[in-house]
Amino acid sequence: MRRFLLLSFGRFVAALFVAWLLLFVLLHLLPGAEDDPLGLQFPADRLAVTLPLLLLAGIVALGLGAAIGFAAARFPGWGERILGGLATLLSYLPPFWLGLVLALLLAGTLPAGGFVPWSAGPMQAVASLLLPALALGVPHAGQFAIRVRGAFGPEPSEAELRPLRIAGTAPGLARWTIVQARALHQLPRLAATVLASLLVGAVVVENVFYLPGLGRQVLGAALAHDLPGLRASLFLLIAIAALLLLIGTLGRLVTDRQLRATP
Amino acid sequence: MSMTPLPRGRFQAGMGIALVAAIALLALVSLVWTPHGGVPEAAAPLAEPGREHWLGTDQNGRDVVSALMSATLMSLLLAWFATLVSLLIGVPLGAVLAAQFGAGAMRQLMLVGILPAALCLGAIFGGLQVQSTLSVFLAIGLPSAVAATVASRAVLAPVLAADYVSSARLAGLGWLGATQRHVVPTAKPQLIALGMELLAAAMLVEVTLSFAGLGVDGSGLSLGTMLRDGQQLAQVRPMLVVAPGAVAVVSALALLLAANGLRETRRGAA
Repeated sequence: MRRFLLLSFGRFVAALFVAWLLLFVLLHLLPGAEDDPLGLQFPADRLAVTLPLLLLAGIVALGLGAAIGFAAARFPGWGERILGGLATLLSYLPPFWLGLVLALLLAGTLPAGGFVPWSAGPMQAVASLLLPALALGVPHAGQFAIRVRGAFGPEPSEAELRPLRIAGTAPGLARWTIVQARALHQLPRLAATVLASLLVGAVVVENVFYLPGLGRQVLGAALAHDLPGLRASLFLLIAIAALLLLIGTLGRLVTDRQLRATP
Repeated sequence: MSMTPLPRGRFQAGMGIALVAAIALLALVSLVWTPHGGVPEAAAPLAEPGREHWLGTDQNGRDVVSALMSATLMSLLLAWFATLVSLLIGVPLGAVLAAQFGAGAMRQLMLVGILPAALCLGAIFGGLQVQSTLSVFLAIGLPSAVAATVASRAVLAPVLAADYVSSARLAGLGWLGATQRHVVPTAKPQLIALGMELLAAAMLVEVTLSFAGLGVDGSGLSLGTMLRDGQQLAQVRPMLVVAPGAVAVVSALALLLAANGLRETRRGAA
């Protein structure tokens, strides 16, 4: 377990270091980037939009994705084919385009015109994030479903099935028990990967819905060629993504009893 | 080893390739002919879809179908070149890694892995004022090359470890010669499928980058910029955002279908 912890934290620190090296050191050496204060301000107001959006989109992506992935693994054959096709279709919808289409379809039902500040009422603020969260979450649900289905692995071998069969478990249930345990171990890491990808995907979706979040700051700084602003906001975005991945990797300690037992 | 492919795989591959070919053909035809020519017309901006203009006109009075045909060509070309270069880098690198270190962990790296990296790179190149077409080419190409390396390593490693390849190497053929003569021809369908998947991802990434303003600049040049222009007018003329996005998604899904079909055909043949 110590090795696992060291490896996880090592990866996190390495990711931050590489991002810092690329963004702050290499970009600083390029022409046109001399006027760099190397400052990292903490945009709390931006995070107050992006993090709730991430949370809502994460609920959509992980909930819907896990449901499709588990159902596909539970019902091999035609069920799996149809659900696999659905997951692929969802995963290849660009979130920003889905956002534009959803805004057209649900124009009267859900607000699609910018962010209502938290001070104006939490319910209105959450409502203004629902459509962007759907646009961002649904394609990632497809990706999560594909990864969850993959985590179940190949059909269990006779040797794996035998102990359960001897104990009197029905063949279908025995198979399910084994593959489900495999998938559960990987679930936290897969969920974190999808959340990290959601965070970066928010860059474009925030722009579609005029949400003043971190992603919009990244894009605004890039389009305005504001290099110090771009570096600071992009670094923060990458740091949050790396932190999510670290939490997801450490989540295996909760689901994997064998790993906890190793010294 | 029976060479009779599974009918389902062949059907899928055929459907996918036919659809992609039809879209590519329509895009190529735009070089010589479009329903209303490439030049903006003075008449009727934002015309309703009808017999004259099948999908209406945009805010500059340009026929949407004509614009779609040319924009698809631009998006396809950019995605095609980025994918080609990433394969030219990724497949030899993957072969070296497979020969030296074996299969490695196969990971699903396609769109999921490429899009976030491409967005970050696109933002950096955009901030650095790199020329727009080069910026989008690099932003797609660099992550795609990594994806191509990882995926082709996983594809090539089992073939490199096959008995007949080992025999050829024992008979004195170098690993490069063995790869050229035995490995690449055997793995060709899988490599083509990989290329198609990368192309599908590249197409959607290009659309996303250009929409965000980090890709092709200039009005209505690619599917992404068409979406960017149409965004403000979506409530009045939904076709301006529905049609370009649908073309990109259908092209990507057709490429995926063809890639899946090729893989199943290969599995049936093995």
